[in-house]
Amino acid sequence: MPVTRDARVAINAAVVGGNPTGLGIYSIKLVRGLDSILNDLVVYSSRPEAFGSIAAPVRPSPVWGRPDYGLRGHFFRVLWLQSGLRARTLAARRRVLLNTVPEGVLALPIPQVTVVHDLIPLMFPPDYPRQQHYFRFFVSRVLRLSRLVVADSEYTRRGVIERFRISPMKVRVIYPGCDSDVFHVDGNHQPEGSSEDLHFLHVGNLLPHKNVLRLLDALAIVRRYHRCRLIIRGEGRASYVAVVRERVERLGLQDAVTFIGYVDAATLRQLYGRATCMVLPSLGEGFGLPVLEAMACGTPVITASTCSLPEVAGQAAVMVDPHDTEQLAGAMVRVLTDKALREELRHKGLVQAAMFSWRRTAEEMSRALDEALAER
Amino acid sequence: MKVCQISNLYPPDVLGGAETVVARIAAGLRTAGHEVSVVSTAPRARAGWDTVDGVRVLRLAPANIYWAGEAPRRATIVKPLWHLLDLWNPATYQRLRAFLVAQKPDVVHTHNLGGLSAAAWSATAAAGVPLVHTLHDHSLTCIRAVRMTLRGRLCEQQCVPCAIRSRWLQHLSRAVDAVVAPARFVLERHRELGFFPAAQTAIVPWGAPTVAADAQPRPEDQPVRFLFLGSLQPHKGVGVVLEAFRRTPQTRATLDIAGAGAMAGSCRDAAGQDPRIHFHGFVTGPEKDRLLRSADVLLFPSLCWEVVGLVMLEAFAHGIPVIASRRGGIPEFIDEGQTGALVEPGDAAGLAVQIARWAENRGSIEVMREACRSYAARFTWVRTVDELREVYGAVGTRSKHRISLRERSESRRV
Repeated sequence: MPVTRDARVAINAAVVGGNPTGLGIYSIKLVRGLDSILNDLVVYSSRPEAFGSIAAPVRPSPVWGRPDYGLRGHFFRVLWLQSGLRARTLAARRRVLLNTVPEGVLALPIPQVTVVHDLIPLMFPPDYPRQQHYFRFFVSRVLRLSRLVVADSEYTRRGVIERFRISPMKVRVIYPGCDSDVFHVDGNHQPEGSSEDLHFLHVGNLLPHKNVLRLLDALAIVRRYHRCRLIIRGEGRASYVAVVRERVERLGLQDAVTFIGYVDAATLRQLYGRATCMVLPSLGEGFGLPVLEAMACGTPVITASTCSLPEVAGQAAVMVDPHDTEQLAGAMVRVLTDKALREELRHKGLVQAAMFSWRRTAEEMSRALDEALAER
Repeated sequence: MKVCQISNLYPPDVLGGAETVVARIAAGLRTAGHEVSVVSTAPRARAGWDTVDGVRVLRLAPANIYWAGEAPRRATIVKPLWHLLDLWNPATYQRLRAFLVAQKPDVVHTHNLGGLSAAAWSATAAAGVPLVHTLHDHSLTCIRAVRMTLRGRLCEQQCVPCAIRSRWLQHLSRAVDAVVAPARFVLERHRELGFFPAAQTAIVPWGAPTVAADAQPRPEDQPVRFLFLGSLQPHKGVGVVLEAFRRTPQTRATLDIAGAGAMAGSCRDAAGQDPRIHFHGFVTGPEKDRLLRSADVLLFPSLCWEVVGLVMLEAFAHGIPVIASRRGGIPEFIDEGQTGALVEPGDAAGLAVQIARWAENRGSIEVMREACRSYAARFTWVRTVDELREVYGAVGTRSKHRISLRERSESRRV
């Protein structure tokens, strides 16, 4: 079936905010990808300039709905979806609405396609007490009302089917991409040149499910035998950041751990390029983009053997049980000391990362939009 | 340091706990910067070199009528022949000696040897490499490795075939320079029988199993939840647990039983008759985790000579105190009043008294939780590996002045 080029699609990308991380980047990349495939596209976002120059018109959504404003922003955004976005998509005579995050319009006469990235608040209820009702009532309704639900990974898909009791026929997997323009092997960089400065890199928001405390414990074990450092990128929930910093002090790792704040994509690429290894031992992920980004930069990866991470990493990373500190430490030492293993991971990683592209994501998404329109 | 671990089985072939322990030790030594190789066994089709989690594993196919990993599936009638051939396997001796002479490890560390046979000790001694042995169970002194008859009676005295076999192995055990056990009890039973006369001894506990999630607070008004987790064989004491519950019909408590084995039927019946008892069948992974997270007290009234009782450490790691029997290595792991209580083995009445007392006293269980957790936190694989490295160091330096096995036996004759 040919892709309907004049699908009259509206994209709800209201979630794109000031410093885009996971969800924001996903929305931007998806919109840019779809823009090159579909003709009649209208995008709604609270930060239109983030999309750069694209053919489709980007209409501003209210600034006070940006994710930067936390809970308040979230609340206003959801309200605006029900009123402002609903009115505008209908006025613009759209035929289908694509929600880049699981926030949709509850009463909409046109079909919706909704992307679900993860169900982390449902997997770790004690860490997200406020989001429980939001997920149970709002997200589950949006997903049930959507004609198609798109999950980032097979793992998320299964979670959606089991927790929200949605027909498996309605839920499909479309993997996010990896931006090869930004994340690629640096020509000048000599991966094995700087043996003096061996260090690990952790990329992610500091939230409890990222398992950073166990990573620090593992680092303490590794440091008993080898000199190495850890760079932790990311900010996060203040209470968890405090716990992490306290653990760093208790383990006496002040000299070994460097915290850096939000960095842009180019700097991030340099960080990946310089790191001996990227470690992402998360207890839960919906996808795990840092794994692909690191692989695309030719950086070896250690990651968890649970949740969606094996789907992302394939055979190209060292996998560990994320609850097992000593196994994690063992893997870190292996990568640190085994040059042949690093080379192997580097080659496998480049191949693995090349399998994911935003172009492919956009193509599959446009097919999903077609299907949603066809199913009358 | 170059260390060679020798174990009859090695992951992915796992029958019991010992294989996992060996893999943990190998990984820990590797982390600590040692060069580790493993010698294990496999059926002929899989024999050869293999890499498991970055550790090089040589799997031999010793000449015997079946592979050690197939033992549970083999008919009882062929087993005596297997054990006879396993008394001293010349094929193991030849292959292993050649391997050790070529590789020149600084120390050899042997574990369960069923399938390789104690010829592994002789080969190590002949290659002139210091030898450390670990006692994982009673397999040197008992053909069934548990010191129990088929009917479930404890073998305080060895039977004749076991005694003859054990005398022979004791003779070979002179080659061992250091012997390591996770608890005092199993070591003492071997020393009593004259094993390891020339060896230094060390108690090196294993690391505790990792806990997948923090314990949830238990609701105050809920009845105390007792848990029996393990194989449902008579000698594990599940019958005693059922009897103790039968004797305390008025006690407000629940019992979760999980596991598989010969007593599964009577557990299911008991669950049918008594609404307080829930039978879960065999559980693993997240289901087992959920049981451990929601339980209040573990019951472990084993009747046999347990070496460690890993399930106790698992319970402690989850902040669960343990009521267990005063037998085997169990008392070494329980601090009475702090992390649990001890009852006499097989004493259902005594266990019933404890159950009734604990069921009414949720407050004291809550107090014990923290002690249990901090006790379990002492058991880390890092510590295990550190202590093993000390043992290796000690036998390594000694071996510089080491007299060969032949010289030693000659000097004895004089």
